[in-house]
Order: sequence, then structure tokens, then C-alpha cells
Amino acid sequence: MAPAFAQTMFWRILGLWLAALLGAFLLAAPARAQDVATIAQARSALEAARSERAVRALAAVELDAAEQALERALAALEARRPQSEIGHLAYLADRRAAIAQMRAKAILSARMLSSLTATRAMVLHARGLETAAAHRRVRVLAQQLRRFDVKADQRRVLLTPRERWFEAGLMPGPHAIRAIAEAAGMLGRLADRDVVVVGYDLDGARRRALVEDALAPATPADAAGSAVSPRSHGASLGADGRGPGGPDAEGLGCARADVVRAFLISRGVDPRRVAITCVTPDGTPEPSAGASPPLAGQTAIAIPLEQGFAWATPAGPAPAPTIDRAADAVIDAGSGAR
Amino acid sequence: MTTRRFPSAGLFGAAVLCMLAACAAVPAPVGEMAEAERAVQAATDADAATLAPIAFDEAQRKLVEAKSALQAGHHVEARQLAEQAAADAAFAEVAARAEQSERAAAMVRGQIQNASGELATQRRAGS
Repeated sequence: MAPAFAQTMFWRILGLWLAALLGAFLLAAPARAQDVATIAQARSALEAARSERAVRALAAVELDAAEQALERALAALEARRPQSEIGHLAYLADRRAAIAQMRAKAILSARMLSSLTATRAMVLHARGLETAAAHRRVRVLAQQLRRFDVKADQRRVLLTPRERWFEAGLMPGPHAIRAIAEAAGMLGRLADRDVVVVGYDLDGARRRALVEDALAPATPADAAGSAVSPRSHGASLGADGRGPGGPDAEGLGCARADVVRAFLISRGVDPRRVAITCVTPDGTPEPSAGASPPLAGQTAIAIPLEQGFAWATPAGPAPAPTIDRAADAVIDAGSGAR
Repeated sequence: MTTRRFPSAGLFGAAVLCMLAACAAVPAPVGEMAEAERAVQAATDADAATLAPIAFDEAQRKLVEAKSALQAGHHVEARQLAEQAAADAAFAEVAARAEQSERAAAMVRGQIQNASGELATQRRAGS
């Protein structure tokens, strides 16, 4: 009796044990499948990285690290390590593969930047030479003018009329017309050069009186249709020769500059090339200007309507290439990264 | 009558003792934490927060979680999080550098285009 009972119990316990084992296996199966999928994803990322020639050539160290990480993950899978550990190692392998790809991309980008920077230096150098040659040409032409005092620095030319063009009001005298024609002739040979006519503003009361008198008759500014004038200041003569807010809104200096501009245009100078600006007698731009006046422009020809004009900003040496220092810093960082 | 003790009880006790010993033997991942900190700092220096924000945020988050796990005494979890944070930060740093270079290259390309245009205009005007 007793042996039969013991035998029955043995088989029951064995059955229970096998059932528990099977349950554990069934529960573990999905987890293992997930481990395999995680590792397959990492392997796929690694193979993608390895298939790129640039990655093999430029990021060999990172690629080795990725391969080692994948091997560790596979070893953990073989050893049936906990799922969290396998997932962790697979994640590291995936990241290392991504780092290898990105490293190669970073190096290629840095090389491209370096090459472009060299090209830019060559182009800027050529442009500088061309600019200098063009300016020499301008100075030579300007020196031939008889009715102007010519002053030139490294990039800018100042044409100051030898005689006063305006005594009162807005109509220039005959000598002024001849001088303007002479200037227009020169400007016609310098199609790439912008021109700034500098008007001088007067004090408010005198300006008002003169403008009200002088703007009444038609002026050449009317014909010019100054609406297209690339003026440096917000003030603009309308088609009727008056500013948008009436004569008071316009300084006489600006109005005279506009007249000269209109004369230049009528003698064939492209309107897009001619700007006007108004300055106070001490040479500073009027505060009404929103943007910098073209006087600060680096290659302009200026025609001031009064003596004693001085550039608002010194020209200094030829303009440095507008190189963003960040670009150079990136090149340094890129070359130092390897 | 002699009593025979079941041997599995002894084995069970030994196994429990081994597990306890193993837990106590996992050292704090000091080196991994330091490496993660260094990697996140390098990514910060490369402006990865702006240029590679997803990877950078992931690295930062994992570093914070690693610190919490370390404080709680979960050394294995802390080590894994620290290693992942370091990997994420390394990726963010490299991605940021690649992005910097590409942006700078685009800028330089524009400058070349402008300067070439000006040069061509000057040459036309001079000829």
C-alpha cells in the first residue's frame, strides 16, 4: 500500500513540476523573442553603417565600438541574461552604430566647409583686386573733371563742386547745370558705381520759408517722378514736388539734392544708382534716417552741395570679407575632432 | 532513529546567501556616472541642446534617472542608465558638430555666390 501511495505521489509531483516548467517556458518565450528582435534591430543598424564606405573609412573606431557592443549583446542573449541587460546592450550597439554614421557625416561636412572656405578666400581676393582696379579707374576719371574738387580715399570718391550751385531756392544756376552735365558724363562711364547727392539742411524757419517759395514752380524733380528714388531718408518728394507731409516735412537740403538727382537722371544716369541724403552742416546725417545713409556705403561717389563735407565714417582699408568667425571655428573644431 | 535532513534545504540556504552576496558585491557605477556627466557636458559645449535636441534631452533625462537610481542603491539600473546617457550624449555631440558644419557651409556657399556675382558685375563694368 505504502509503496503504491509513494509512487502515485511521485508521479503527481513530477507532473506538477513539469507543468510549472512548461508554464515558465511559455511565459519566457515572448520575452526571448523580444530580445532577439531588439538585437536584430541593432544588428541592422550596424550593417547599415558598415555598408557606407565613408563610415568605414572615417569612423573605423566608432564602428569597432558598435561591433563590440553588438557582440556583448549577443553573448548576453546566449547566456540567457535578463531581458533588461540584453535590451541595454542592444541599445548601446544601436547607438554606437548611429554615432559611427554621424561621425562620418560630421567629418565630411567639416571637409566640405574647409574646401568652401578656401574657395571663398580665392573669390574674395579676386573681388578685392577687381574692386581696387575699378576704383583706380574711377579716380582717374574723376581727376579729369574741371568743375569739381576731387577727393578720393581707398574706395570712395568725393566730388565737391568748385562753385556754389544753389544761392537760394531750388533752381541751380547755369554753371551748376554744366557741372552736373559733366558729372553725369563721367557717371555714364561708371555703370557700376552708386552716387549719393548730399544735401545740407538749414534751420527750420529759413528752410520753411525757402521751401514754400521755391517749391511752388515746377522743378526737375517733378519730371523725375521721385517716387522711385532710392532715397536714404524717409522723406520723399511726391509727384507734385512736395513731400508727403507738405513742404515742412522736407528739408531744403534734401529738396536741392533731389533736384540734382533729377538733373543727373535727365542726363542718362540710371535712377537706381542715384540716392540722396541730407546732413546737418557739421556732416552728420539727419536723425530722421531710419537706415544708414549711403554715405556709409563703401564704394559710393558723393556729390555734396556744400563745401567742407566729410565722410561720416572713415573708409579704412578695403572691406574685410564678411566672414563669419563661427565658420572658421567650426573648421577648427572639425579638424580637431579627429 | 537517525533523522536524515533533506539536502535541498541546505542548497536553498546557500543559494539565498549567494544572491545576497552578489547584490552586495555590485559596486556603485562611479566611473560610468562620471563618464555620462562628461559626455553630457561635451554635448552641451557643442550646443547640442539647440542643434540635436532630441538626443540631448534623452541623455539628460537618463543621467537624472541614473542619479536617482544610484541614490536608491539600484546600482545595476544606475550603471545601465549612465551608459545609455553617455551614448546618447555622444551621439548628440557628434550630430551637433555635423549640423554646425553644414550650417556654416551653407553660409559660406552663399558668400561665395554673392562675391562671385559682384566679381562678375565688376568685370562686366570694367570691360
